[in-house]
Amino acid sequence: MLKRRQQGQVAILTIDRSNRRNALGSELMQAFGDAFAEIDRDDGVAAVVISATPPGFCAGSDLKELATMDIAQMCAHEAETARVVRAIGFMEKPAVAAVSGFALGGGVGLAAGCDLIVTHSECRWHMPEVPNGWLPPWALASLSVRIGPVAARRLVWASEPITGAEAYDLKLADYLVPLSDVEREAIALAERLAALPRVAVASTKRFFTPLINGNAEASDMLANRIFAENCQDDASKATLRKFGMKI
Amino acid sequence: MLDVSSRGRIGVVSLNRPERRNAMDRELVTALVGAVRRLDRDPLIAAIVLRGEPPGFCAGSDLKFIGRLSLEDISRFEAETGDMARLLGCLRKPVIASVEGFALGGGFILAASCDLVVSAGTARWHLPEVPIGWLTPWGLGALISRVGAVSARKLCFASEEFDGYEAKRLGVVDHLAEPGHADEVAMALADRLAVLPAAAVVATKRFFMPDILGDAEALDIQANEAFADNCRHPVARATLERFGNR
Repeated sequence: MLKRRQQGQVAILTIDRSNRRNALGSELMQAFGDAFAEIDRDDGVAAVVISATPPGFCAGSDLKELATMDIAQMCAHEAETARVVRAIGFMEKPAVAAVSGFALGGGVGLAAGCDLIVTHSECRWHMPEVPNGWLPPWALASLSVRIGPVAARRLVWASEPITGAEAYDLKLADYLVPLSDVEREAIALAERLAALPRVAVASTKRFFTPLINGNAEASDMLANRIFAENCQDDASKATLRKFGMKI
Repeated sequence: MLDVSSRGRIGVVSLNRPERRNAMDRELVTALVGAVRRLDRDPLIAAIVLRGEPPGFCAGSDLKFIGRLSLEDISRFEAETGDMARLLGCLRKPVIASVEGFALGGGFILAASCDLVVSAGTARWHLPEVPIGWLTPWGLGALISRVGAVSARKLCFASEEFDGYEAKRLGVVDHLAEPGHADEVAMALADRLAVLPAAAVVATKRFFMPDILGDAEALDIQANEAFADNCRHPVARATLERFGNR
């Protein structure tokens, strides 16, 4: 589900749900929440990398699991996912996302919740929520703060995937490396951060937190409400039925 | 003056004052407000494309028109134009600018006030207000949302004009088109938005509106006051007299 290993002072969390395209199910989010709390307390860890087993970083919400819920349960699940991802921004230690293959929907949100993002030029970045019928229920503040609200709105509307190279041009991703090097470069970056004076790294993250994550919670709450409203729309209901939801 | 048509579910609004390089006077601004409000209410329309008939998108405020007004009336006209530009961001439906030829002064800001901006790579982009004597009087909130405050200030200082490629790099423009093909790209973009679930498209625009336009009105009021003050200075007066007497 979520594997943890350690390399020097770097903790590496690897999403290992390739059978569900590394989607963000309840169990995985629980594991993430626990891991973030442990890592932030662990003096042996100075930085964290979030990576995934192939085929890709993360496909977003686990639609198969969502199909077993009603709309209210689904909104509660998305709110909890949002909370766990926001926690990354409030850890003392920097988090690096190693994004290869694809980052879809909530997968984009998970990456954007990290402090630094490494990807490769052919990586597929896509927000498929609006074509499904709804506003993405979280992560829009972290997306906006990275690329500005005008470009964030465009990505949410665009209905088209962008490449890792385009994500890098937009400053959605911070580093562009060859596919084979994504995880290694993310770890190397985390090691460089881990080698710096810890107090100064933590102060830096804390200083920027109000600017970067200041209104993330309010933004997520509002998006979740709008998401709930959109899910009552005919287009959304048709999508949810297609996924197997009984509504 | 202003042509309004529709193609499928796309409303197309064309500035058509070629003899004034599609510059805006009061009649054009009033017509534009009426047109976009009607299209926004029309249930058959899903998105709006704003474009200019050749030779270009829009040359900004019509200096010949404002040159004949009193300073108070100029300020009032510019405030109304700013209200119109903010309205584009407050409509429920997405508005896409299609820029060929040039987007100058208020025309630059008008395009940047749209939700999505398509430009020919060769189109000329320039804010010439400071060189002719005044701060750009409206729409700077929308520009700041696109490029950040530091770049927006640089653009207002206006030491140089640039092309669509540079505008794309800065974030003023979202999509580039081959010269002569901006309309095609804009219409394709509009068509793509039109087939998406309407509720989600509207929700997306509404969700981002506070971030994009939150303090735009206050900024417009502030810029308008600076503009009115600047217009009393000799360089601006000379500009206005030169154009007003043409």
